[in-house]
Amino acid sequence: MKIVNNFLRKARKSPWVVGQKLTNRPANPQAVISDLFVWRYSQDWSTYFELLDIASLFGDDEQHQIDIVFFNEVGSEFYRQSIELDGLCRQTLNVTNILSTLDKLPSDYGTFAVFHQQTPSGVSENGSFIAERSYVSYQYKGLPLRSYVHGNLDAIDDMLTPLGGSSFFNRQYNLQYLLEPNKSYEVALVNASPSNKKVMFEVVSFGGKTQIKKNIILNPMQTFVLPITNLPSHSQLIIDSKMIMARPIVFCYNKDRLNVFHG
Amino acid sequence: MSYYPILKAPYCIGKTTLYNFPPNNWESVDKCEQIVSLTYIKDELWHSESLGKLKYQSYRAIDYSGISNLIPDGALALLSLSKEGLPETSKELPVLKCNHTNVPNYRATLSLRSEFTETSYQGEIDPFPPQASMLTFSPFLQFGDDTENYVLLMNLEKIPENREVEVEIYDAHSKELKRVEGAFSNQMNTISLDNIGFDEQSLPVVICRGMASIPLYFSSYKQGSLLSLEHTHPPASLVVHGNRFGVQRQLKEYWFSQLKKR
Repeated sequence: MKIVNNFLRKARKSPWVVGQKLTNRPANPQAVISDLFVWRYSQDWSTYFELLDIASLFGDDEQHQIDIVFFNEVGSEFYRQSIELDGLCRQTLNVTNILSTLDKLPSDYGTFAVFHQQTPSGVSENGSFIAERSYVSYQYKGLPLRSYVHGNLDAIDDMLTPLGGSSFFNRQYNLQYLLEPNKSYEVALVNASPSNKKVMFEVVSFGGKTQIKKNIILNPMQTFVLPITNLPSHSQLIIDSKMIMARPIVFCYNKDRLNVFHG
Repeated sequence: MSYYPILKAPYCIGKTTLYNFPPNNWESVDKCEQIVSLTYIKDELWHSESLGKLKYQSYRAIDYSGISNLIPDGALALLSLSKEGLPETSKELPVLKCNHTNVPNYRATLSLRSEFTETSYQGEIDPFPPQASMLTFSPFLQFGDDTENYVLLMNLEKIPENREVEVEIYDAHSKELKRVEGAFSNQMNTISLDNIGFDEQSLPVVICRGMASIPLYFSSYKQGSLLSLEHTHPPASLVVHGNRFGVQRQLKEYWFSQLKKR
């Protein structure tokens, strides 16, 4: 009976998993992979990134470099720079300073990717790829403590090919988080897949009433930030799309206090 | 299968919010009421008691002050959701009969709340094998007047004991040992990272050869006026595809051989 139940469970799940990987494998075996980290730039925001010299972590003590590539909110590259790494010292990259040197920014938020130029031999020998998922920190309104959030998606390779998988059917990502009436939120979602995605954001009270509904189309590598304010009651967020896992970053504001986290 | 701890940190009270709804709509789950349980160690046994039921499509927030009179001082408080009640006492951590998903896992909101603000992450904990170890790099230290930095090491194992291990903190560049601290299994261990010679250019590396943990990095400004919290991933997360755990093993072996207490 247990075997039959297991078979039925797998059969029911197969339309959601067969041929639908969370992260596709890059075509080039030497590729390196990065998340698409969200940058924010305005009078209220400063963005930082903690650069880790991954090759040095594996014992390679030569000089290493990364390429940082910036994308605007619709996912188009607008700037890139090579940066020498400091080995096993901490290296906090002031993303806001880099962006402030540019003549005109195309938007006040977007994404960036960090591609390491050296892959340790131990990584390629194991059939793996470097995945940059380090830590972004945000400083809000100049307050002295920054709020950190880790990278979470293996979003694109260094040929700028999006690696996120696509679902045959629409699926929901139900954020297991309590949205509270006395706080406000911004929910950032990046499309890490290679095709346009229709996305529906729905904020629903625990009584079942829809408070906010927003339909958008996200191009590959496009970022969207959904504001959530003035909720009349405790609510949850549902994201419906053909992304395998539409995991957002949540910026939660309680007056001027900021809390940033991944879904 | 996961438990949801109530966090502890200076100037803060822990609060954990549980959700009885799945994180997606395509992995099969039972849409049923679940039992909220509190589990903790007392007298070398796991003790569990019901805190009531949680209806489907509902949430429940529980803070430390709400359960502090139910557990021994300093014990790790573990919350859970399950379809069946847990044994009152057991010699191994109870296996939960609960809904389970993979993409993503079920999570709770693990918060630290001060008098002024709150910080959180979406988390859970499953028991680690006792022979596991930990390696974590920390680019999280924040500097300035009235700023404090801590690593919070959260461990859970099946056997109801608080075995003591050593946590070693080094500078990754110089390999200099900065501090050795004791830590315990089945605990939230709070270790200060201040006043041991780290500056803005230092990359601290924290290792534990005898116990795995989830490393949380916590910073506080002016005794909780502002808070920051984030965890690091295990080293396997530096890579994707292939034999990720082979890569992790290689990285751990390299660092554990490089870092010596002398």
